[in-house]
Amino acid sequence: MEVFKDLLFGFSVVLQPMNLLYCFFGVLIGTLVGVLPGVGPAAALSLLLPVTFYVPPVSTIILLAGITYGAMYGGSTTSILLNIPGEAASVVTCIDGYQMARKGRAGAALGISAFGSFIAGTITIFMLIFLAPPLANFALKFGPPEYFALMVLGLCIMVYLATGSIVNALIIVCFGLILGTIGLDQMTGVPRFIYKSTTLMDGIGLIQVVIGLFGVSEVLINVERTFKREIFETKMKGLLPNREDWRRSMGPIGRGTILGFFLGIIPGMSVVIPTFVSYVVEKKLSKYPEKFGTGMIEAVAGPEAANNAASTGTLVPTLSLGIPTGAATALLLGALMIHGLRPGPLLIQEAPDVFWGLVASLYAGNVMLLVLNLPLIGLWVKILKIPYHFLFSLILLLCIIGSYITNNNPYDVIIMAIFGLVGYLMKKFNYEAAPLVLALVLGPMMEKAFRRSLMLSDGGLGIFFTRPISASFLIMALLILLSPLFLRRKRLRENLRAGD
Amino acid sequence: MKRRTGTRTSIILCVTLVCLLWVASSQAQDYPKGPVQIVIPFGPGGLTDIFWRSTSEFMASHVKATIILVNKPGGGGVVGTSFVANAKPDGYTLVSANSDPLSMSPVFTPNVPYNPEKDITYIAKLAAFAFTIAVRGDSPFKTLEEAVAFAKANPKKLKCAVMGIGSTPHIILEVFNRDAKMEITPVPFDSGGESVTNLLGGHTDLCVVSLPSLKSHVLAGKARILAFCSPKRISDFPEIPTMGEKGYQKSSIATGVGLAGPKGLPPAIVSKWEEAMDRTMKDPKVIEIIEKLGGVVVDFKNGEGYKKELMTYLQMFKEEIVPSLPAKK
Repeated sequence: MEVFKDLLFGFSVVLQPMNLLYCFFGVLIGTLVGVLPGVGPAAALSLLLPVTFYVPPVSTIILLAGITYGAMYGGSTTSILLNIPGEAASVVTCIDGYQMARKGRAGAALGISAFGSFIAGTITIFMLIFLAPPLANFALKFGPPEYFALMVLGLCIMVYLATGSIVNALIIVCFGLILGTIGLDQMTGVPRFIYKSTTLMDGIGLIQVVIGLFGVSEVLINVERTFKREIFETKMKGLLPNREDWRRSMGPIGRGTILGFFLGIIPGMSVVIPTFVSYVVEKKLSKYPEKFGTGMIEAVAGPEAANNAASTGTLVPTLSLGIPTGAATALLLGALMIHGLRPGPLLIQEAPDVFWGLVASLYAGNVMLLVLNLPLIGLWVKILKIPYHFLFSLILLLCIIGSYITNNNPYDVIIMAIFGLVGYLMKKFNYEAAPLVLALVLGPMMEKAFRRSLMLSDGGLGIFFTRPISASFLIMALLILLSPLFLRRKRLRENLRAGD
Repeated sequence: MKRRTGTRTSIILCVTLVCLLWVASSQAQDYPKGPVQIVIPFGPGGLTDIFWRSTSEFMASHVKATIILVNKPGGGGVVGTSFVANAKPDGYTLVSANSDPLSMSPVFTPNVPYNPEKDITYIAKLAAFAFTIAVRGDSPFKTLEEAVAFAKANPKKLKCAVMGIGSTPHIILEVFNRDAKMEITPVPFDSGGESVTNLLGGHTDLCVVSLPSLKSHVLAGKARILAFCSPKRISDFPEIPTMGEKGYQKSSIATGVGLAGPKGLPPAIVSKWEEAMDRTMKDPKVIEIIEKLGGVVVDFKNGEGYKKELMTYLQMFKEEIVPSLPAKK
């Protein structure tokens, strides 16, 4: 088959020693960048961009792509160990991953996220090869009305994200949506709730909120109790996932891969949303949904596979349409442009070595990442043996650096601190942080999509129902909203009661 | 055990030290003594960011200083620009001077915390960006006239993807609307890439976007450029007219990127940079790199010239465009 010949050609490109070396550097830098909270792949890519002048285009793209998916491996590390998401895409991993670590199963959690990422990475490469051209055209069908309908669906399934009271989760969702309105309104340029602060012009930063809500608040809670009692005193039970873990994780990894890849293809969806969707799906399918949030390995395996699959998925529109799906892919395109290559429909014909070399490097890079990450697990897990009163200062330092470095803006540190306090109070009063993060991601996108749709339709609401993709999403959302009324009246009532 | 966690600590130490270095490098007799920070008021990956990252090394060799590029995105460039406007005028904090935050935001966005005329010292204009008005490859409009004729006959029927309100593409469309006496509805998107996606997907009829975002689609026949909003024709597409040739002189808004610093920057420092920038922009290697980006043209002007250009536009937007905009709700 033609495709396999092309793929073999790709491997012949990657297996040249220099390209292998660049691939290794890429995934290594990616892992480090992923581990450090706040330093996203975009920041690392932009620092390395000038270096790539002196490197042939194939090596450039292999190096830079390595950073983007390497970061997805690294991002889970601090989530699981310290409850600080290394990337926004690892927020969901915090929920159960950190609980697993507290039960002495950090090794299993880290192991399954490395294997899950590897499996997802490998499968999606083949999806990329066979499905890229038709899927790229499908992604174009997503205009503002389709985005809006998809966001509505997202908000509806969010209710299932809650591990405790649904009422509390809804309150937090509203809080998140309100926070999402802060900043300069993209549609009219009108400032909203910014009180003349230039920092707030672009809204409240997701990274700052996430680091505050998860990292800082966890420290505050622990400082309150740990001087009497060391946490993590439980014995480490095995460094790698056992057979039972594997049995429970295979399904979530497979579903996470498919979800992540398809959602990653849609430009602008970001890598964050697929992880939440994967979490909710696993929770819905699980026989023990009530145990989610207490350290279920499914809830680590699924989202971790999803964020890796999504980062391969984002390459579909990037390479076949030349459309960046985020800052990181925009920089990949920039690197190609510096070399005079035009990413887009003609790339495969004009520069087959770049395209197939990149595809093959994804595989080589994933193997390297697995080899690189498995021995590191033993080392990471030892961090947990540091007495907490030493560890927490390190965690706070990481939080401060992470929140500063995203925009180089000292006020962002203040925002992070405020959300640390908010997160602490939320924990005290049994409100969960994850729905807030998702609402903050979805809210502004949903608002913009809604208003853009109305601009396209001159104010008519019909546009949401006459377009087939958008209509079917809305119908699904309606079914999800109504289903408890018919199916689980009793369970809903119990849940509501729990919230009182 | 301690030694192993040392890797982590040392990473943090390095990061902290680098941060401190930036702060410590002020006060100098023989400038430049330390690294110079140039703030890019946009996020990584945009045209401005890629422009700086691909040329800064050559600038550094001409000015004989280390240049550190720092992204401070937000508010359409206002956040980063305002940071530099308030910085110490010691020549160690400069800014990528873009036309959006300096000539457009002060007119179209309320509460911009600096005065682009008084609070900024302009050093040079470096390059201009070429914007295009484009349609899909299968669009019935083959020329600009056909689109204008249809828009005149069907007010508000045509939708045009632009970047956020108050951005260059939006202003171009508003000026075009006014001068052609028609109504094409602007639909604001977050980035040029998003505008192109929505054009190709058939969600909007037209799109005003910078050339690099669009180029490959034009070559593949998926999109067609009706006109360039640039002072002269673009060498890659010699057959496509400019807005000026079609009688819409004012839509050919010259936008671009330059270098500036806070007010009160010592003249010696300004002239040192101005001269170094002039030499950089004449460097054949730099011109080659810039041309490869596609849609960016070297357009060197000294500080005074750039300031005059920006202020002329600012005045025109204030007096001519704002009154003709539909009232804000």
